[in-house]
Amino acid sequence: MSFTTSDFLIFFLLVCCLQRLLPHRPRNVFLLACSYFFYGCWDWRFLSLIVFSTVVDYVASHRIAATEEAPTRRKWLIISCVVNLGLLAFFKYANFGVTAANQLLAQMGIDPAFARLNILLPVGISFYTFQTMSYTIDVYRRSLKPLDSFIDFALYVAFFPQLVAGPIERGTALAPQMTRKTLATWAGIRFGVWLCLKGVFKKAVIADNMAVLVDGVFNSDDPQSGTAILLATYAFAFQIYGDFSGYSDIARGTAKLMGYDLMVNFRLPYFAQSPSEFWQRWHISLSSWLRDYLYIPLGGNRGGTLLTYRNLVLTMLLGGLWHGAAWTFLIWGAWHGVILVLQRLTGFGEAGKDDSSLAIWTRRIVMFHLVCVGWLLFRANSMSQVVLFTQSLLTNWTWNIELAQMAWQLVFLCGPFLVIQYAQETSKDLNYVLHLSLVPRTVVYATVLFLILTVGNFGGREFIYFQF
Amino acid sequence: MSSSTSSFDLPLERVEQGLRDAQRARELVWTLWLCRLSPLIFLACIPLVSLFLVPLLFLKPVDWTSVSFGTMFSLKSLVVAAAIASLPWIWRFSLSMEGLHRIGSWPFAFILALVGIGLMNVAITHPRARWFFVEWAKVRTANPSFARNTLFWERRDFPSETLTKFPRQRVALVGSSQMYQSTDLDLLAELTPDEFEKNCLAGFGPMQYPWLVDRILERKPNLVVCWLSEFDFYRETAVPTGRLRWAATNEQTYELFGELSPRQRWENRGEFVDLTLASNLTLWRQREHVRQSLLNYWWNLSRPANAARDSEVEVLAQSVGLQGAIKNLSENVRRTPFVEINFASFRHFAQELSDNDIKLLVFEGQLHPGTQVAYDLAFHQAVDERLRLMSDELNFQYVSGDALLRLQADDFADGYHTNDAGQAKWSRFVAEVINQLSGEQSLSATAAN
Repeated sequence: MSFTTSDFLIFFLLVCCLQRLLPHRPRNVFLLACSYFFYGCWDWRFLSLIVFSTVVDYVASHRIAATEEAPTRRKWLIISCVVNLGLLAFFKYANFGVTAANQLLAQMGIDPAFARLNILLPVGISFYTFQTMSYTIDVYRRSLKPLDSFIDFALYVAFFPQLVAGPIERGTALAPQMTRKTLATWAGIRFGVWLCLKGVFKKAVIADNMAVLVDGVFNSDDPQSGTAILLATYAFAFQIYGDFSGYSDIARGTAKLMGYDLMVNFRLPYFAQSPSEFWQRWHISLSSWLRDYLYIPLGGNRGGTLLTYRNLVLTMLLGGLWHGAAWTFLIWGAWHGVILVLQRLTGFGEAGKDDSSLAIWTRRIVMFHLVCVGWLLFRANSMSQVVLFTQSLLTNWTWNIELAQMAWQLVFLCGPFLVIQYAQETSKDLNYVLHLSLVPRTVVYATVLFLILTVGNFGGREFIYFQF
Repeated sequence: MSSSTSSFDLPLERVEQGLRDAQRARELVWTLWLCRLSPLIFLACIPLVSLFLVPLLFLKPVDWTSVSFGTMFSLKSLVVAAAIASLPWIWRFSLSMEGLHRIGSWPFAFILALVGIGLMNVAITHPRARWFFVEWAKVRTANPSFARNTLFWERRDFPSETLTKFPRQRVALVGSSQMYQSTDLDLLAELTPDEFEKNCLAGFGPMQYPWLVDRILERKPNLVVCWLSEFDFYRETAVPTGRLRWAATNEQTYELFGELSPRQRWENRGEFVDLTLASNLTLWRQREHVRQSLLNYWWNLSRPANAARDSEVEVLAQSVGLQGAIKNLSENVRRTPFVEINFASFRHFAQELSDNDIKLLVFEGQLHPGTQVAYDLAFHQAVDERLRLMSDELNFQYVSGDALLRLQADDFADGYHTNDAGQAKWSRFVAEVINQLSGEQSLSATAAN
């Protein structure tokens, strides 16, 4: 049940209306049942995984909070981490490990010994696993008191707007909202509707139309020109941004309509001027998770220059691997680790160096292209395709009418979107549109509605991040 | 992971009270300048509108030879230029109104946007606006595409070149690209005293026939000629919204879904929502056309090579080579849950024609003989048998078996469509059958002779 289907619309309207009528406790039970139903629409079998993970972390967090003995606390934390990471490793990485081991054995001249397992990847496992882990770690760090009610905790884990693709909510932010009945205010409803509309626009109008261009190049068996690859990579940059930030907007909007606040997951990432700024703007819930639960525990920047570089690269490698079990994701992570290190070495993009418009725009354009190199690695179907495409990008530049058409679609769909984003960036106000006067605001709303109705692609394409 | 830019520099979801007032103050300054510049905008827009508006909309080159002072200051260009120049004043006026009355918590902008969409929807439904829209969309839509073909239906703009002074009857050739490619109107007109027109669409399937029956009846034909094969009946696995949306009405949608089993209705609930929306919202119904118009061919140079090569309506569908057709057929021709719906739809169509005293002539459709390896011939026999039974029941003429002209491999241009030789051969045969039918001579008797 994807967010841009009529099924979800009907489901959500029913849930949203009914939950308002219920008192707090029954309401949480109702929302939990609806969340499990929502997840079950993909595959009922994997509900058991969520329930199992929920029970383990509920018990672990309470055991940790109940004692002051450090070994006991550590033991329960380790149990929680092993169970969560074990599930993730088995469902997500087992086959990758088997394939890599077999390739290694084959290269050593030994017959591959391990058979591939027939494992389906449960939707959203990476998201809810990280969410429950952060909760238990926060309880261990004494920055969070565990929720008393199992229902409240289960709802925190499985809350349907953010269950399958985030934002990865921290216990400190979302868990307390589960303990009280929070109803949407009129202002909240208006803001929630705007977020949903914006999210549908990003997904259906931008992402899914860009996807057609991207697939035409990346999934084609024909040789591609450098121009086509460049345009398709730009298109993918907007596809993945529209897809994921669109999902996050709808998640936040639907939560808001029910009276819950979810965190901002994107802050105009393509206006970043440096790699570290990019990661403060892109998939913030994951990047801050990696910072707080991996980079800082590894030592962060406290252990000297070389150790800082190691920690950066290691964190980004694991961030890449979080996305999926493939070499392309691993190399994508490594690429971001490397550019973060290069930023530290060169001081590229650091504020206060040169704040002229030219310098700012140069840094933005360079950064966007560095990110696009990463997207090429991320989207490629294999490493051999990366090599092939890189060769084409460096040598084979042609221009024809199909490419003109592709460029037009890119400009037509993403251009006005970027203009609005530029206004948001210069005003440092993500709610810029809401602060416009009546006429321009009406024009923006009407354009968004018109494009959703006419150009929106509702072909049933799933959100990219569901696979992670 | 570390921060070189403080979080303070990042854009935030700001909610401070004064933001709207500050923005309003900025807009007052912008509109003040725009209003001051509006006479210049007006003057600049007059030649721009008169010279470039029509070329931009309809992709016609600017006709510099006919440009004169008089044509430049036409009423149309003056009105459009005045409308553009008045926009800053409207904006400024709304700002002053907003300053006088606090509009409270009502989402007026959203309501106005909905009203605007509603008005656009009403406008596009109006025949004159539709004509304008169709012209606009037509030049940007690839020639051999379903989206473009449907535009001709929108305008009832079918190739109808065989106008005869006193025709014996009007004949409508209805069907898919196969029917389109297989019949030569000039030859048919030469061989019969009838008036012909082709009402064809790429991918036209049985479910579409009843949806377009009203548009066919508008043309007042005496005889409708169809060409149907197993490929038409045995292919859908879901309700084909893409092909039905632009012709959707509530009545037809409910009727189609009434034919489905409860399970099929549940499985196609998204399609039901889509078609219901299309039945009631023209913008949704025409979305494929708007989409094509906005996303395609804003300049002549970007017309794809195949569309530029073809004449206006010469090709109705993309050419599919024999191997492509075999692959396509082997993947798609199978027993699907929609076979019965297809037969029921075609029966409905035949019944409608019969109720309106329009004769129906159905030919057994043919594919390249090489495609026979792609699927079980039992499908072919089943369609043949069921159409034969239906023709007896509903009293229409069905031509198949020994009476049928069998096209050979060298009559086809690709897996599905005939070449010129095949088209001529088939047209002669169709003319002969129509002449025999119109002479009230039984076809089976002719075949026996």
